[in-house]
Amino acid sequence: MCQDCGCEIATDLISRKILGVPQVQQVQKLQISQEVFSEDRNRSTPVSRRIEMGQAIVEKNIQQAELNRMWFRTHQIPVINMMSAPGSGKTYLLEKTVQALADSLDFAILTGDQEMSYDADRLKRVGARVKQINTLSSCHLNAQHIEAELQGFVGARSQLLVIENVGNLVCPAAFDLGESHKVAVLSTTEGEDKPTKYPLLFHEADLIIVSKMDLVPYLDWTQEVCQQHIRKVNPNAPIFYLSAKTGEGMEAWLKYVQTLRSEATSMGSLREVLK
Amino acid sequence: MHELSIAYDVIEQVEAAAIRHGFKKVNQIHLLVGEWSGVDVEALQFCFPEATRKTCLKDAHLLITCKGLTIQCLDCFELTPISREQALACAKCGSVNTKIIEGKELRIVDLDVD
Repeated sequence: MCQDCGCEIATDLISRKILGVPQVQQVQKLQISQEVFSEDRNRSTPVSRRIEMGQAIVEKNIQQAELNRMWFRTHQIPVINMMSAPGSGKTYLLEKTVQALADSLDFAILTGDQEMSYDADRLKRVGARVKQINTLSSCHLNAQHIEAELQGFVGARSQLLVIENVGNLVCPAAFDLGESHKVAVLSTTEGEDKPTKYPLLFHEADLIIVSKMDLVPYLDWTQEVCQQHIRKVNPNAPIFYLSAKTGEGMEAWLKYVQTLRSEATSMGSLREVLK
Repeated sequence: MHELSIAYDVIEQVEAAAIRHGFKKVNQIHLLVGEWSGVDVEALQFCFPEATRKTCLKDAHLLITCKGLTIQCLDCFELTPISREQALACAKCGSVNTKIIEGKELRIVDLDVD
């Protein structure tokens, strides 16, 4: 047995000497040398061996996201993970959403930014129950950030949670937070082509909101081209074209939010019945 | 953009494996990175030596296998590899009712250790 690690396979040193193969090709050859030297287990030379891993690199996040999802399901809380580039109008849309729905719906908002609490301050001013998460060096929210807020801030009584992710079209798409719905926001001022330039985020979205429609007269932007880019990466998700400023198209979005809530509670009562 | 934190996640898993399997040095680490995993291979290669400098992955050869995007049609079940700038549609029947079955991987495949 090897004195370094206690394993019982033939030594790297020996197999390399005998077979004369470079390090990388060593592994297949090791099987042979193992048989040859299997009698001799008292050598104390270092051993090279292969260890199968196989797990996801972001395994910790995947597991935590699943735990979050279970917690949300238990408490019948639908969760929207809202993602977009910085400056697409997520916070403004949420301000208007709070003003329209806060009386009928008890919803919590978690808003992520690297620094500052401007978004939370803005949302507080319109009466939202909101908490700022500062990710500092990190470019996205992760499942641990959300988990830390479940018991205290979100609480079992919330009827809906909206997570306003860090403004970024790349990284947030790779980190599951345990949400039930992913919403991508794309503003007209960003141009029509962002969905195909940043495909993963738009592909994963359950709903795509095209914001700042009131600015279209001032832009070289056409809805048809934008829609083509969206459909290349996401053939099925509904697309809501709206302007939070003028209120154009807002009904569809508000209806969507209310429907998420009623679906979550009816699924919850169905589970109760099945119990 | 988050390749450095990915490198730290890799280190954490490998160090846990080092305790489990009793090794002190990694000669080679093999990663599988899908085209749509959100990770840039060059950025990962760039930050890896510095991130691993004081760990058992110091001097380890970083082997990365990239995996392209493949979708499966949910209507006719045909598999279609997708190249850049190609719409996510089935090559056989043209349906856009598809799901990604390869290309989002981000995994440690195996380690060669001493």
